[in-house]
Amino acid sequence: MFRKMQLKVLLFGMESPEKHPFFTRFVLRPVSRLPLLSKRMMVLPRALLGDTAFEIHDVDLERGRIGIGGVEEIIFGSKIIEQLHKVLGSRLPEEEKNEALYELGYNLCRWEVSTALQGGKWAPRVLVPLIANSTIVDDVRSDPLLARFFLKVMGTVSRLITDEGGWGHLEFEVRSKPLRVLLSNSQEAAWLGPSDRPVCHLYAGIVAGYTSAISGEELRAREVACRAMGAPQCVFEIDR
Amino acid sequence: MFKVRLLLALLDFLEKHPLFVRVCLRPIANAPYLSKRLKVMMRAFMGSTAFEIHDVDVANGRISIGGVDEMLFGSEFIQILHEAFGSIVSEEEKERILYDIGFKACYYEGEEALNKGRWAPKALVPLIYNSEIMDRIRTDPVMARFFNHIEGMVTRLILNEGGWGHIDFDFSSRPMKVSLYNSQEARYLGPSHKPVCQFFTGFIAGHASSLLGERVEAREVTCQAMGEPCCTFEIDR
Repeated sequence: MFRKMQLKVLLFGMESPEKHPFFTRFVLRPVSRLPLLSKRMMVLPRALLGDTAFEIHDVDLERGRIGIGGVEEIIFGSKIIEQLHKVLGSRLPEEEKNEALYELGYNLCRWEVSTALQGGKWAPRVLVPLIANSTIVDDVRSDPLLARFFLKVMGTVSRLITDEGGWGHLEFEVRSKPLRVLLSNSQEAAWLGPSDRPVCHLYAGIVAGYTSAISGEELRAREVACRAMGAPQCVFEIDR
Repeated sequence: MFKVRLLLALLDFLEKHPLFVRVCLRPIANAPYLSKRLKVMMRAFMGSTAFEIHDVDVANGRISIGGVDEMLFGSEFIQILHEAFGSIVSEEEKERILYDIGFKACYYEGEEALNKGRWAPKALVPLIYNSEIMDRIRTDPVMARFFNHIEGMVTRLILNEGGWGHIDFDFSSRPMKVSLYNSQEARYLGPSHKPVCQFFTGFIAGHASSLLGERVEAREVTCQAMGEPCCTFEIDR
């Protein structure tokens, strides 16, 4: 009962800025950008008020460091994706290359999401267990309120990390079994297509690392449709 | 040469008047209509940050700067890359692979930036990007100062604001030296008894090669992972 109330209050708070774009744009957003306040606000509330990932990033110009909510980042040219596939492909058999790329993506994303969750700068610590817990994948199927909350949080997080990180656009189909993740404009498909089979092995690892870090379980992702093969989007299914 | 002296005077003026740049020029450089028409380097010298200059296409999930498509990674990716290749091939081959990836990624970025024509006016590009630039900056102090301004700004946008650390150039030394402070590779892979910044060494070589229009190589001669205050690279022609 308490959790339901908590979810309702949170959903109200999260959906209100969307329902009142004028008020958000001209009142809440400028307030959230006040120098003193912006340093104290967590990443998710700022994002929900409409701040972009670049506005939320911390930049230490002198030391040459950038980060968002305590997660340190680096910028690569997107060519790195093609290079990783090519270099590994020239030294490993196809299947081992694909597995190596998957592992890279998995380890990268698991580290990023875990650092974000543990750092306490993305969302208040008391709210993290609502999303990051071992039953979340099943719970969102049976609880429409939780599903709405989950989609709102994941949509905001993936806007910051994937859309505004240059990786493409992610959507979650939480009701499907197994859970499905849809990726539009995959960088791997763009660099490596056209192909007669799925090519987004790094991204499959990223999806698996993302969902594993949230659920605390070891989950695997399989790419079942790929843009490089002519599909409108890349589709990943998450297996236990 | 007149063009270089004129530009140098302008760049010196901007450097000496940071308040003017911040209060007057930066808002102009970031103004909605104008910002789309100004070249990357012009905006940077007018005080815009790399993040302000980036184009963000949220609907398609793409970010770029001056037509060069980019991606954000967690910094631990550097360590993960070293570990992944280290588990597949020998140490020596791992170092070669990382150098090669860094080289190609940076060379491609440099070429893209030049070819798209959105970083600097096309007429000014040959002033910097030509095969004789290294010899000229050694013999001509005006050209050396101009080059230092331009390269300092390019590396601020790509490296400092890209999370890679900070670099300084020593153009007078032979071979030319580049010092990197706060290397991500040294931070994740140190302490070590030998240099560890193979990816960044390739990165430096790729950048220098696109600048000179010919393949040059870089070597890391000191590394922060070995306890040095900074990583130092030498560039050989």
